[in-house]
Amino acid sequence: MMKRKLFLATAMLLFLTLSFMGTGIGKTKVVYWSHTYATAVDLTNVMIEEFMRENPDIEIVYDHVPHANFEPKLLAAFAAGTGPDAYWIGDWVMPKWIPFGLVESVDHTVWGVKSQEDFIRLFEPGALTAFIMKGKVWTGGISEYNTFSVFYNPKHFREAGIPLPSKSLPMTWKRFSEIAEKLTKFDAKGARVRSGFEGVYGVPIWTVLLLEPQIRQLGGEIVDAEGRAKLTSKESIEAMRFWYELKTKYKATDPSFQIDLLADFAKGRVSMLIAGPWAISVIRSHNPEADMAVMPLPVFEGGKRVTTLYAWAWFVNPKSTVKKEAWKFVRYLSTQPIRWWDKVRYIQPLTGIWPQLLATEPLLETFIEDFKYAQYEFRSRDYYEISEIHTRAFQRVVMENMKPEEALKISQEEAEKL
Amino acid sequence: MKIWKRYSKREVIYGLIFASPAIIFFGAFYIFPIFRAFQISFYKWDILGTPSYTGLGNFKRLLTLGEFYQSLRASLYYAFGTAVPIWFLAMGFALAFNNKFRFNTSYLVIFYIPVVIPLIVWTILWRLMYHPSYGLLTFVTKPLGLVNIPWLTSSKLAMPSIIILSIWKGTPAYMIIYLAGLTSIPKEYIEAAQIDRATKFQTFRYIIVPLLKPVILYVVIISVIIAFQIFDPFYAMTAGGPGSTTRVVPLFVYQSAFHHLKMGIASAASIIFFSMILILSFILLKVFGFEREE
Repeated sequence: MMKRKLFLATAMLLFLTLSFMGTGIGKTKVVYWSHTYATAVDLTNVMIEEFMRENPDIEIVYDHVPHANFEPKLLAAFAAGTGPDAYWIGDWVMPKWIPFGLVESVDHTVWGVKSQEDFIRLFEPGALTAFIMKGKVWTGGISEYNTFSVFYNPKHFREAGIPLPSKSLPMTWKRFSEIAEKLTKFDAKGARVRSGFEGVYGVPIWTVLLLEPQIRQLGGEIVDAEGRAKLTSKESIEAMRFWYELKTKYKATDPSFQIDLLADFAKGRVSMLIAGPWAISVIRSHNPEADMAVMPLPVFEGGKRVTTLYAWAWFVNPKSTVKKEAWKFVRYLSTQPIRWWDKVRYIQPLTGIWPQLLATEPLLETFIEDFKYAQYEFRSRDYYEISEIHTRAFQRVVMENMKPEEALKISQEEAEKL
Repeated sequence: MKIWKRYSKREVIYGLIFASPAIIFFGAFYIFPIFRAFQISFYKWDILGTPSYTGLGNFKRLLTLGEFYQSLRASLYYAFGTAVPIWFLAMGFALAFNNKFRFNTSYLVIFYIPVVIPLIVWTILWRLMYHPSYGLLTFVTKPLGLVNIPWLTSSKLAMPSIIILSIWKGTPAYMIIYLAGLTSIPKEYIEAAQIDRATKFQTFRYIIVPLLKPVILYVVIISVIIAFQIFDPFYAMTAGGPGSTTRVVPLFVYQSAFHHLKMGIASAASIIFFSMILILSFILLKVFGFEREE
């Protein structure tokens, strides 16, 4: 009996010792989450190894979640009190997440600056606008800074006898439609084999990124000053009419034609698409020889030049018990812009960054031009509901060929019930 | 009290102990969430803040929300659009496979493959098949002169497209249940009917169907209940679009809860949906008849 007890105690002790061996007992553990983006995950893993070598008293536990599930999982974790210490998330959630207390205002001392204003000056002017609320900065830096420009296939343009567009001066949306029509191809039986343009028509954030700059170019907004939708404004209808005609009149796009937008473009099934600088590496991963160039986002005739702006940024959880270490890790991630650009094609808008990025990627030239006219997406606590409702109108137009006025009227009625 | 007479107290206790993992699991992951959802449906709660009591506010709001009715319609369309064909197709295939023919077993195995493929994988396969230019279906449609069919982006075709893949996947599963029922019918009954010169249809109508009634009832009710709960193809294939034509109630609940952070509305929608399925189940029980043998 005594021998049995001794054996059990020894086995238990051995088990506990072996269990703790891998856990870094004595180290400060920082849990970090991001969404899954292959090249970003790879670089993050490398940076974590480096950070832990330089900070042997800190252990980073990293997890990444597929993009579509990332926010729900983050929120569920926060609700359960098990959220990560540090994470990244998009600017559009700020109106909700800051009041909810899910983000901590930045500890600028970790960056070695004396004040918040000095911290803001580390970044390009206006870059942190979306993350400043109630006089405080709520992020430790932008991980991904994007505007949308038009990727096009120069080979298709040359074959169709279309002059290559300017890198800095935008064409009109009408001209864009005409070009897209010319680039679209059908086979002998009438089946589409190439689309002049394709877009992402079913994802709410993409609806905002595509339609909002158009509405703003015409002098309108998606929401009013109180954050309520105004989808039936004349500017909104006019913007939607562009997509209606692109589908029905010019037959240059067909939502059912896409398999994977960026792969379709890389392989020559699509001649033009609208996306951010991050798309460069994805297109090349599908086809290293992909023929691509970038032109500025078009503008409506008589409209003002406006492009979209959105960003993902790093945050620390206010309920974290290791905030100092979490901010230290965030600082490590957010102060290596060249590496993020080289490996992932993510732009981090630190002051004076553009020439360094441009030296390694000439395609960035047009994006830099479009950034000058970029405005952050609309701010509203009902961002998700409004963007989903707007997406339903978008789909009714481009998938069901519903007239823009009718589609937006249905959506506005839905939005008024929020 | 009857249990105590049939089994000793010790046997009952041991039975409960062995059943306790299943009871705990069922209680924790089924019973508790149902009661919690019922409770949350009376509150306004954004998952992060403090819930505030609204009484029947969420239910009143849903019953005036056009989107919710649209989701209910989509769910009814999908459930009966899938289940009703399955009732008949599964029976037909079961009758066919109940006969002996060459390679019967091999065909049965091949026919059963869709059942073992996870629904999300099945959905992704069909999404590729539905591509209007490169999908597998174009091998059938192009020779017929039909090109650029917007299977998933047309409000008229999106739901039927999802129904087709669901029928293809679900039919073999219910066919096996019917087949099990058919093989349990004593051959003497069929032989007696043949001696009386009954036609095949008469044999089916007056011998097989009455004897298969419990199995038919099971297939009818379970197929409808499961069809109402399906989520994967609507999430992965159409995201509820185009517009909201395929935005079934499970998707509505998911988006309300995890995109809009309206747990109260989502819970209330679940309760209404659950009640609707319960009432429909009772109606089906009544229509198809069920007499319990004591």
